[in-house]
Amino acid sequence: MAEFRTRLKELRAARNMKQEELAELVGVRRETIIRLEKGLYNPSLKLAVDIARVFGCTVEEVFIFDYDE
Amino acid sequence: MTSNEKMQKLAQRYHDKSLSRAERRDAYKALELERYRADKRKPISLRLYTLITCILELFTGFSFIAMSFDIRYLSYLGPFNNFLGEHLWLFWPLFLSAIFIMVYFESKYKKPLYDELSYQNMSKANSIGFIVMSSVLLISAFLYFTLLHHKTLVITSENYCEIILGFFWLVRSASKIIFLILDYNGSKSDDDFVGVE
Repeated sequence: MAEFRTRLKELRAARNMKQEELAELVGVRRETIIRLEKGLYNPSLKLAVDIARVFGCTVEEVFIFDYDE
Repeated sequence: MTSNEKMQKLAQRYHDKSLSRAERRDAYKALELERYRADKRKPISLRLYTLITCILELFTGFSFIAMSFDIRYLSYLGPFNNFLGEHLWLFWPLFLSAIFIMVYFESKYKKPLYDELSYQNMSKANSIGFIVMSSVLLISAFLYFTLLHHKTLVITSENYCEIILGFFWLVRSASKIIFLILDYNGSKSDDDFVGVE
């Protein structure tokens, strides 16, 4: 079972970016960003790539899956 | 590239039959987003928009159901049916005002955009709403034939159509209520420095 978590909040705070601003940039609602930050929603590959591009990092750096081996 | 050029390019891509269905769908979504950004009207939140449409659809649904009670050939509801029969004309101005309110909101505010999470929640809500309303319809039919001891139900085709239309609007309305619940769960931000509404 893989545990899903994101570094969205951290990356956003580093850039002093609001949830609303990030949502606007990637074309989703603020509620979606809130759920992503809480790890309650698995984004589509396109949204994951879009978010990673906003922060200038790779998808793996933003979205982390911890596998219990 | 200007917004107009971008939209034209996306529209061309959307109409390009050589592309796969998924590619064209993506192009359409991008086009919708671009149109939304270019729209100068005031935005309205998806929740508020859904709530308004839900209330109006609920009202429309109930209006149709109430109209279906106007059975001139068999009054299966007794005094209640007579009361509704006398005051049925009241539903028409209210029904028309519901349409006018909807048109007003559609013209004044830009229609909110459904993102991937909203689509997911909406499709889930649609199926739950349909199941819930079908169950309500079945239970009411069951109660009619058991508790009220009726053996038959005589209905005109006009009233039958009204029941179907009423059911359709009530399903839509129920789906929207479920969507609002699904959308609300887990979407409260505990962020201190950002995202304050």
